[in-house]
Amino acid sequence: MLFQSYEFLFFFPTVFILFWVLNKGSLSARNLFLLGASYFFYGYWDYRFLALILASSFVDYTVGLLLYKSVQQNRRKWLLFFSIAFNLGVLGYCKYLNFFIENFAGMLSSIGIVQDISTLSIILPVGISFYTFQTMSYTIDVYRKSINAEKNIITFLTFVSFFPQLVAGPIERASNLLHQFNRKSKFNMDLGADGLRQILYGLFKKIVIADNCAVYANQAFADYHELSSPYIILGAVFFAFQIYGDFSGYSDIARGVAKLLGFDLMKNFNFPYFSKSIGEFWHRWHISLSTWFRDYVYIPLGGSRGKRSVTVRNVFIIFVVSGFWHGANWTFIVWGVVHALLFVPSIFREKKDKISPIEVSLSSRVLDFGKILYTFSLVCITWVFFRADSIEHSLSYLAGIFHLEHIPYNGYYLKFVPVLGLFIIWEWFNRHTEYGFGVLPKHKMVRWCLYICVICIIIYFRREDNAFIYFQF
Amino acid sequence: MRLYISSFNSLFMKKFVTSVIAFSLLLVAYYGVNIMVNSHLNSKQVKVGDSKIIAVGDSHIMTAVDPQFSMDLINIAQSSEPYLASYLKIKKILESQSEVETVVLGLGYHNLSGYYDQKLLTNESTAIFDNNIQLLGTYELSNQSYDFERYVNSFLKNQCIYPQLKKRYLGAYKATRSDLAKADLSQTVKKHFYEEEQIHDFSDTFNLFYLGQIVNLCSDYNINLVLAKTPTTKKYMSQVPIVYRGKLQAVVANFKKKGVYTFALEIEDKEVYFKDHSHLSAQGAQVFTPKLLDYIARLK
Repeated sequence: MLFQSYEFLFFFPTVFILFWVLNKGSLSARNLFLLGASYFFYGYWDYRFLALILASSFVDYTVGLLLYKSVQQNRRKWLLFFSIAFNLGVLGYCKYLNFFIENFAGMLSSIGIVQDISTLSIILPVGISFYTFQTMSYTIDVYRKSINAEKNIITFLTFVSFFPQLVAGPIERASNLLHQFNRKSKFNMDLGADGLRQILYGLFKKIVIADNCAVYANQAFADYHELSSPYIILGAVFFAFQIYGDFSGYSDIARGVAKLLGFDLMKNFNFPYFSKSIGEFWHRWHISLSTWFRDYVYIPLGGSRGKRSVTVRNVFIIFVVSGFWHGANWTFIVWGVVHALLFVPSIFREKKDKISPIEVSLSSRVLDFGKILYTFSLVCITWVFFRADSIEHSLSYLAGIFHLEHIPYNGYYLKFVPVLGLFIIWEWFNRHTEYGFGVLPKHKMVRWCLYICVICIIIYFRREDNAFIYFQF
Repeated sequence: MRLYISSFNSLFMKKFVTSVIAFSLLLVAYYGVNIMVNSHLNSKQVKVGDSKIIAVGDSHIMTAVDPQFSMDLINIAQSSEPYLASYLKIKKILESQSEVETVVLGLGYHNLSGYYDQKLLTNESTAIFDNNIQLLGTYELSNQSYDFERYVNSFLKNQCIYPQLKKRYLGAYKATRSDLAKADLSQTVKKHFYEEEQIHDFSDTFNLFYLGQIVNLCSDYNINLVLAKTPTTKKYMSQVPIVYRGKLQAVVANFKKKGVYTFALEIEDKEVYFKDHSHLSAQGAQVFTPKLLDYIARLK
């Protein structure tokens, strides 16, 4: 079920009412209801997906309990190994098996051994990478003894399948989310209203920005050989905003829905395109995934504590793995490698790339704007690898940027540029707020009129239902 | 249960629900006002001026009938227009006591194809609904297979947000340049007549049903109906499946018995006359329109 569908418009109010009715009674009944609602939401795509999420949840629930009870370090290690092997095995089978088969066959044929190896027909369950990483983090945290194992199976299953963030994150940590299922939610009027606003803003980003940018980006990536340089650049910019609107829009809706149910999900985006360096970009983009890799891969590998060469190696590892996490294609791996290459210089700088405020003096401001533009340009170049169908496609697309021959164009693209420009300006003035809908008129009726305007804009720009890009991951 | 529900009615929740309901009412009121304004605008007589001849149909008529050749002629065809929309459009015009004497309706092989019915189930239905939403009521669409979600989206977009001062269902002549050299014939033929490599079924249940309705409507109002087949290239003609040729002959023969006129013109296969293999260019329209007007003049 998609957040922007009419089905969800009926589904969520029903869940909201029943949830708050049940919230005053037994916690188990409330969680059981939330679990049922989450499975319904997920099974609405394909009920067969439920078997996999159930299996994954049961394994991690059991391993968590055994880890909690076990004192023998050796046994604990084996249990952790089993859990990780199971989760990565399922993920690898569903998502990466065909990639490995194709590449293996390609390798054999390149050395002259002709092999007719056929790939398997495997359905990739929606959001498998997200919930797999969430359950893995739970088991690792229990192993590290940073959290206690959850004894109530209903609570644990609800934690894994909580519908607002099930299919595209944020990838929650048990330390943040699990305990919220063990207490009664308290309704807060302000939080509820804020949740509704965040849902509205998320829908705006998804329907108006992402879905419309998608049309032009798709056109540019399909017909790039017929376009001159400015339109090719614009195509990459459109994709940058497509993926930002799509993914951060989903996260906003997820967080807004969770707020309405009294839950607090972690922030996943913090105006990433206003970053002044690649390092800062990664502090602002898909925060739940980058912190996951930091905590469960980068730091265990030694992080930045050892020699610089080790740090560089660790950076490459997490970026390559992060790229591969997104999909079984060399383009994602190259995307990760390019980001690693852009990130590495910051290791050798004294001043670390963290989120910093825009400088006050005019010269510093100009410099900061320059840095933002420079970083955004680099990010757009990397998005070309992410979006392209193959490495050859991405390289041809990038080569097109230097295609200076003037090709007449009907300007179809340019119609959406003013809308995108206004969106960027809006985000800029709201960049210090939580999600972009912070600077609002004080008068209630004026605010409501603004919301009606946003709803009308959403309706006007609405296109056919487009699934969120990150569902495929 | 009563205890639970009363708990649900906590002060904060009560305030929140009241606010949400109040906001929803405001939103509904805003939409309601727009719907009423649009409904009022739509109920006004449709303006086709003093035109005695109206050309109705899809993009094939839209590009072929150039109104500059006669003060009495107006072209109100639109891209992808199904006969359902043409029927409602003609009905509205005739009900408005217009001076229309002749309706020219496009009828090509592709209009017989189930592809036209499928348009209401695919992405193209968005454009069809957007163009004709002021005409299409749920009554006309009930018992028909169409994409309800797209219809609702289109209704919200075109009737609820702001007053639609422009009547979109009235199309206009579109002069086009020749682009025949770049036209993909196989793609066009495939789109018009094939579905997954098989010849498409006829659109008996929907498009052809409304063609029959148009014939009856014109007969009721004692209006001349000319079914006009616009020229296509010889290459296109050679690829039209035989069953479609037979079907068109049968349909035309049947309607001729009911007093319907038919007009078909083959023009020289010059590149400048064609926008693509099945649409005329502006130069092609300059050849086609005078001949069509001559034919209509002879009917009187």
